[in-house]
Amino acid sequence: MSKHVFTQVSQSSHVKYAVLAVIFSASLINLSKAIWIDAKAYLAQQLIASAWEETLESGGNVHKPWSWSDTWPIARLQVPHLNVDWIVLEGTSGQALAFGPGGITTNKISNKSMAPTHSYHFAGANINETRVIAGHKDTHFSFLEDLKHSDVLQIQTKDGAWHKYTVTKLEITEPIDQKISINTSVNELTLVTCYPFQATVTPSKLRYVVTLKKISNHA
Amino acid sequence: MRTTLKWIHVFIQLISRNSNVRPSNYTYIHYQQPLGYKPKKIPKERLLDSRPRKKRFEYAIVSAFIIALIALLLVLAPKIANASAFEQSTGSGDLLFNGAGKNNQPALHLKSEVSVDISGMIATTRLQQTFKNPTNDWLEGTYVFPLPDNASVTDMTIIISDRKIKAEIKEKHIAKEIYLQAKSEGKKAALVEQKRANVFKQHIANISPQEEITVELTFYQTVKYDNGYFEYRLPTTMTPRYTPKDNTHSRQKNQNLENPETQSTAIHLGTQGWNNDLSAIPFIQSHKPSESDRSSEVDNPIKIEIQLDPGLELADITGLYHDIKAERKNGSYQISTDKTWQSMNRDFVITWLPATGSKPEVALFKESIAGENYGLIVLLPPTEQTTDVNRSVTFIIDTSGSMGGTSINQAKSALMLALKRLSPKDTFNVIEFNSNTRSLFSSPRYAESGNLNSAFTFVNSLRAGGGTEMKPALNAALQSNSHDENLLEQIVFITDGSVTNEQDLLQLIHNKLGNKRLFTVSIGSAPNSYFMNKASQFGRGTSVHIGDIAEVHNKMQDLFVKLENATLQSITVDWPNHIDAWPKKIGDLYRNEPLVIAYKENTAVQSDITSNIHGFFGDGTLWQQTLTISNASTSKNNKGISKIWARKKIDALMDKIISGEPEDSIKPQVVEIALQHSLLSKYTSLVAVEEEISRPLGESTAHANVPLVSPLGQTLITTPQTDTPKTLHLILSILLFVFGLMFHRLHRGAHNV
Repeated sequence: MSKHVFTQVSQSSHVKYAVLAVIFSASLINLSKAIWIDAKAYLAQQLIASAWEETLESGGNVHKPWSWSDTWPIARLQVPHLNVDWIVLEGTSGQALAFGPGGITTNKISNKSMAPTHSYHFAGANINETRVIAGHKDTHFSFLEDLKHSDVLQIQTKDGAWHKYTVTKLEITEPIDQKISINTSVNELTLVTCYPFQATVTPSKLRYVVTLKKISNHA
Repeated sequence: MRTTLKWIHVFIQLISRNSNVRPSNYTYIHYQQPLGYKPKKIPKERLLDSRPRKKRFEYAIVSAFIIALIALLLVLAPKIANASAFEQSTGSGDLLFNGAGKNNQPALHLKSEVSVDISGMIATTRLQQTFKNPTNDWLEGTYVFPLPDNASVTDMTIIISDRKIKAEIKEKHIAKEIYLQAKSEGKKAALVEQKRANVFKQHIANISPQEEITVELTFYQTVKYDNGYFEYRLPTTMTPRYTPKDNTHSRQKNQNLENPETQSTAIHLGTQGWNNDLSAIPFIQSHKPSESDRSSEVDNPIKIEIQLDPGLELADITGLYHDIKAERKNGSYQISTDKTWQSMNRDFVITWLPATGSKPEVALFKESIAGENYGLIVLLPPTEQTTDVNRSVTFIIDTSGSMGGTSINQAKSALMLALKRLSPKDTFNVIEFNSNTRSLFSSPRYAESGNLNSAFTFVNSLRAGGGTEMKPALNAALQSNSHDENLLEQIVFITDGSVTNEQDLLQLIHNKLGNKRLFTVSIGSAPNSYFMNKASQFGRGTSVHIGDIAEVHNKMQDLFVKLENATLQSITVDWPNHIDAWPKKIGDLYRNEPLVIAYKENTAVQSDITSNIHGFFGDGTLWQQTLTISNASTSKNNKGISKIWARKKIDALMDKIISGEPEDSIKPQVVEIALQHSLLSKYTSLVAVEEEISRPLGESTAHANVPLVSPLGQTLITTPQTDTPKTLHLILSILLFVFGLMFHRLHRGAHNV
């Protein structure tokens, strides 16, 4: 009788530990996934920062942060009062955005109302006009939430020059078919991230868009 | 504070997920990664539990605690309320930015007027671009503009009030010297150079204050004939291009026409926002209407008038992106845009469809010029022979980092469609590449359900990431051997082509193609189309472009038609010795594609031209046609054929550079033809200089760039997904941990009783 009871207890404790193991390892997996996202976002910036230094030293040549990288630094973005200092990368593929905010080049801008004119985009890899930068709301661009009207940020271009911009508009928009309408003039800069900032379920349907106007050329 | 807010949202979401109550502000899309550990585990454990009631009670306490916590945090979080109020204030979700369209540079371009003469297959376009110097300074203007891919640009004339100055064709560096010389002497001068196959740059020196100046360019081109339709296309603006990294240096040199020696001065820096790219073309974002009866109401206005003499009965004339008016006059048609002035923000395209029964199958156009005879042959091979050919298809899919996001999904769904389309007798393989190359099977296998299922699983598991090492994958596909002579070997290459070693890759395709055919499916909104088109040309296939997930189905259907109905393969034309015909190499012709060949006749030989055209149908049967061109005097002289011939020859020569011939040996040949036919090319430019000096010495000259209107619809940008599951993971991690602890405690409690 007592033997029987013992077996029962032991069996149920086996199950219990198995269940606990599953729960705790699930917890650990989730934790490491979360940490991994941060690790990529913050550690990669260190590597990218040195590539940026090389870019500046060479007078604007492309320097990849690591040899197999699909992206490279194109600018440096600072918001002094929020202690923000990021190196902006070329392009906004999922890969690039994990490592830093990405500049959307105008040749990536789609042209839906016209039939694709194959002959127009040619071979290539250089920035034509980057006036839109996108970043992850959970990492690099979480600071957008704290940006207020008239706040100032500065951008260093590949030639080493700093350009100051001031916030003129903060907006939330809903992209249609992943696309949003942006109408920037030459002296404007647009920062985009997902909205709401607190949302945890991906993908977000809304975008937070900050428009800035250039105020000076040097710092 | 922010972290707490995030927590609140998580809790709200966790609850709403279970109770189907959604906060009205957002629509949630269920995150696809495993979410269900917690809810699924509960019922199982409950089954083991001997005293469910007590445990349920404890769970209830914990739930109540969590809800209380949420309620507390909600009260403490005024920011959330602010957020939703903010959202309401912005309303519709439309972004309307202010201050756009102001450009710092003087607006130089006044208008463009185009008159086109289309006769049969040849279009002659006269493009007059009028510029105005609105300032009180002397100005030099530069203007970068596109022209059709196959345009033979032959003449340039500067028109100042009633004076006309005709340009001459010169070697590029000589033309540049002449221009710079004239500019420094204060003479009016114009220079037009080819920047890329279809991008040109115009410089105009010494435009007097308040002066208007017109530059007229003349070019010839063949109209496109595919699928029974004829098409004339005139680009008016372009999508800004991306210069290969390796080329930045040489570009820099080209751009700095003023000081060829100093490369460091970036042009127009400061006026271009924070753009410091040297090849930057200024663009204006237009808020004006894109068409009007008055030229002053649109940006970069253009007026287009076309005289169309199709030589056939027409069923229909359509303007694809513009409203047009067409009037019939003595067998030809007068076509013009409905509103006179159009903004130069989109291509102008008209198509015309021959009436049923008059679908042309063969046509000949001739020109005699300076004692030389030129001809253009258009021949539509028979199309009906659809035979059931077994194929061996190798799919290459690019899974590099640049394919991340929507591109990889487009690529995957295109590939899935193609796989489903295979017949069980076809063999296939799938190769994936990023930094490494990975093949589904070691050798091609039959498209049976088992093999297909492994392919579906393989494709579904593909994720984008890593480098773009295209060469090993291409190599693998080009080397794979089906060991079956009867199989039609096809490679379907799905990529965005974001590589800089195009020459290298094109050479690889050229050298290793063998009997295979390479088809390219370009993916994404800005693929490297030059590479995609050239790759399919060297791969003897065709190219389709998928720019949007919604296009996948239709575009792939187009491709299937071409893949499965290779009408004619290995076409060759035997010409008599006194004929110099281009292109020399004719690939396969796919359904409804005509054969277009231009030739030059050595007039010393007085005989009819008899040529044999032969090719093979998919099943290997020979198709043969004898073409006899009688030497009788031409009834009609089609102006421009010689220019089209010269352009085709130059194209073929330029392709030889890719096929491995050194540029040094090709260049003189191109220069010779280009100079002879007064044709703009990579190595030759048109330059016009007025004899008279207009700018007094001592007056300085400023520089102005003429902006293009950014393409219609270009203000739409594709926003990347900028959220990560970081918070979700964090929350789940902590919840699971807490749950684990609770479970442990509750269970221990049960034993103790």
